[in-house]
Amino acid sequence: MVNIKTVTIVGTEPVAVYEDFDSYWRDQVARATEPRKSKLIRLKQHWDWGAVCFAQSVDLPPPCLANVIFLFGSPEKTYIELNKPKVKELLSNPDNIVTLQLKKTAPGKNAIIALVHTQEETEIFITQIYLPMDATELFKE
Amino acid sequence: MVNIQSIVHITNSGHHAFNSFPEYWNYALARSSPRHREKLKKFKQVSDLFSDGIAEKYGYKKEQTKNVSFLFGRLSQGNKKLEDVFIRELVFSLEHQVILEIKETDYGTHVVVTVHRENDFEILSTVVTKPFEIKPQSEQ
Repeated sequence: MVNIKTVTIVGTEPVAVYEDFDSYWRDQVARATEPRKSKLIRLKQHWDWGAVCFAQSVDLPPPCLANVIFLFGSPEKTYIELNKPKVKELLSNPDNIVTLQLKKTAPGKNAIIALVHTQEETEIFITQIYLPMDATELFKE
Repeated sequence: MVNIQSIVHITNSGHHAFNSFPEYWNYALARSSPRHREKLKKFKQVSDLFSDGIAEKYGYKKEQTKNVSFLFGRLSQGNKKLEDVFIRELVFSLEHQVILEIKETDYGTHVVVTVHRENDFEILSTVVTKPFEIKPQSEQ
């Protein structure tokens, strides 16, 4: 599993900080009403399955890349990134700690800032994307 | 006060997230040995003087510059960086939300500062060894 620790939602006052990805996700689902709640659940299932496929395609055990699609916002972008050896190494190493900052930068446009803290350094991934409709729903209040 | 909204503190043994600077600072003091705690308190005093000096030098209100030294780790580095008007406007605007991520490693301390403006953001990154070298009592 990609070692996502904190998730920070920026733009609210104060910002919302979650201490791990699961608590962030549970809160998103708990606060959602139908039909968004069902969409979120389906989206997560879709992304969980995608992560298993990506792990197989880059020769990693399936759990290694759980939640990876969330970092890059879409399966397409994730596929491109995971084919970079350095990205694969950074994200599949459970000793590395990943933190996320989520920010709406324009209507329909979201930035995901992922910091990967390794023992020696910090790598910064920034995804500025127009998310597909389902994913955009994630960022709505 | 620099609008620090969140501090994520990462060590080899775990991580903590804080929603305000005072919350983080109390944690830092609590997990330090008495000797190190005194060092931190002294650093804070110097840091506050530094912040006031920066406010006076560049014509900001004192509340705007408070805690700015924690963004750059070392006062000398902060002093140098703040010569740049772009950096000053970035960190001293109270409308900008500042997120601080501090990672302690065996090699030093890495501070990543993300400043969020309304519609975009800037990342300032720096490596320091002090004053963030806060060791828990058991490791002293």
